[in-house]
Amino acid sequence: MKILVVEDDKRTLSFVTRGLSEAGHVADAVQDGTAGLKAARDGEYDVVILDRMLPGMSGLDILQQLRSEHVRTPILMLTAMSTVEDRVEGLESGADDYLVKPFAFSELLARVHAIARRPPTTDVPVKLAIADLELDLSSRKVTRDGKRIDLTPQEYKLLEYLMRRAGKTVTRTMIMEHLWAIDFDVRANIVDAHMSRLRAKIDKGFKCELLRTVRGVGYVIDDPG
Amino acid sequence: MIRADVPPRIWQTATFRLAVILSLIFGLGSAAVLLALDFSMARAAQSELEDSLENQMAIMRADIDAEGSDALIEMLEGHRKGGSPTQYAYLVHTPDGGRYVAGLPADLPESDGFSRVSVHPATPRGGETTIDMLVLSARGSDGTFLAVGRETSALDKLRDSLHLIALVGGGGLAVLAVATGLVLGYVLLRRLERVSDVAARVLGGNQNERLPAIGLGREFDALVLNLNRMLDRLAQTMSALRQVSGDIAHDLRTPLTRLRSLLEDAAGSDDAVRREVLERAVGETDEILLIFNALLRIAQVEGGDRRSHFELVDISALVTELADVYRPEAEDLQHALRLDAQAGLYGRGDRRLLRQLLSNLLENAMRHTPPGTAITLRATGEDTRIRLSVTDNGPGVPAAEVPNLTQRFYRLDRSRSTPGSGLGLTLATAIAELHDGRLSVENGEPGLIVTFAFPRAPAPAATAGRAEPSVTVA
Repeated sequence: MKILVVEDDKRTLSFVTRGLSEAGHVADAVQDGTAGLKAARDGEYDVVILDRMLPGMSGLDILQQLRSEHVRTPILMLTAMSTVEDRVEGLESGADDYLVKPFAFSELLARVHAIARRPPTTDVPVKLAIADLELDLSSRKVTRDGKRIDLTPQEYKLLEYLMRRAGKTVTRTMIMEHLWAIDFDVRANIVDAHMSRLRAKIDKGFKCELLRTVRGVGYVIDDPG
Repeated sequence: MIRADVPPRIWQTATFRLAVILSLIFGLGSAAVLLALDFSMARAAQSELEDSLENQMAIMRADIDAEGSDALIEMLEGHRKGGSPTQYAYLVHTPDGGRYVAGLPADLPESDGFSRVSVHPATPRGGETTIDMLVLSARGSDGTFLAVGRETSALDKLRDSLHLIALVGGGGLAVLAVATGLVLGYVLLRRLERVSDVAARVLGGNQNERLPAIGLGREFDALVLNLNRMLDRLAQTMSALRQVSGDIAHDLRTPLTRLRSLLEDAAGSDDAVRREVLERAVGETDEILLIFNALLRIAQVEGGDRRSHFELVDISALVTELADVYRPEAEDLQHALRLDAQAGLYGRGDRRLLRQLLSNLLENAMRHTPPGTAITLRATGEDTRIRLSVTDNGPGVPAAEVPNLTQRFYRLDRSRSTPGSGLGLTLATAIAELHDGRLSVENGEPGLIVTFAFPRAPAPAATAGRAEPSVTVA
């Protein structure tokens, strides 16, 4: 993917661009807000990573300007300000996701992958399927190899979230933020506890494992075959 | 420049200045009254004098009409010789040369009307004196020139004594006012100096001292009372700040020290070990960030105005979802998480903060109790309040420690080794207060009951009036 990183802190910038290159992406770095807006407008990027505090023009202003010009490139906001208002403001202005500094690179990468070429929300599929695992969105029925699997409401939400991002790694904080609106520090391994139950229901006793743990990052569901 | 350490001089005090201003106002006022009085008295005396002269003149002219001017002169002479006292001076010139002059200059100009005349009669001792007179002159029906005069000195004397009274009285008043100002200023100064001294000592570090009463009136006492309350509050804040900085130093130093030694380790180890050591270093960093974020959140909740983000929150749904989210983890820790939630409870608040408050309470209960403990998340509604509580039947907390639980960084000694910011309940308390609620911790004997009570809001119209079935999940 071609990714634009607009960030004024040189260390963070090189940390992010190096990581993105290592992950096989092309990363362009811009340190100034005005130049960032120009690049984001003209560069035809797949994803833009935008710092909130920038010299020249703030990340939020760039975001609003781009969206008012109908530039629909997925945008991930980086912010050192972790207040709820800041996040809500960022999302309302048209950001696709946000990440609070300091962050783990794996978290950033997972979120970049998640927002890139996300299927438009208007295109509502009726059924999600990976290998022989099927999830019927209208009847909320889940089957594997034709066998009915009973899930709790939370497990169903989790599976749907994973299957909509099949093949992409989903981090624990993404799950907590997006499914349960838990955007604060949580000690308990609540995600892992749900995952082990979900895994026991959808993978145990079947020929291959669909739900995998990505060590130190999160989870991914995909068809190994 | 005002220097707080130099006591003010008496003439610098407000009371004294007020007294001076008051005496100035008094003085100006008295002067104005005096001028008005003087003017009207002079007018009254003048017109009385003129009236009496006109009266005398009328009598003399009547005498001439009745008996002729010679008879008038004779009568005046007779009066003088008879020694009858008179306030008046006379001059009569008949057309045929008859003359009578008493007390007026003989060469008085023969013009009609009032005039002012000064005469200089010889005193018995041979000197000369001056008498100011008002004179009315006119002609009689037979052409006789008539003049009658009267001294004006009585009026002048009256005015002089009036001026004296005003001067002495006004001056006395001014002196009295200034003196009163000095005395009051001195008294107030002394009392305020005591207050000021104490304030200086408090400023100097003696934070337990409080201001003495000023006295002199309720407004001063109320002022001192409020100032003392302010000092109490400041002392609390200062001690909290000292506590917090000490605790931050303590609680951050430990993970920072561990982080440092891990990094040193990593620098000195070979590649195989380094990776694992560095991963642990990242874990330590997360620990530090956790404490940091908790402090930041508390500051935001305590300091910021988040009420503008308040909305109607379905509390029943919120606790139900949280119980669902936490139950698997609780089971993994061999805790039984029970939900006892009344349906249809609504409150106004910040949804995320309420969620965070309950998460903190649940995590505390899960983390600080041994396996096998039952934890109950309960939501009950009263008429005007909602009570959300997390109860466990674990070992509880020694009674003496209960009040300390909501203090910043407070941790029981036995849980020092468990990771945690020690800020969970502090944050919960801050969130509770933001929602006009109260967080209370009590011994459940056994176990601990943490309750958050806050105002209940009416259910939205669509669901109002519906029956409220209770959801209990074991």
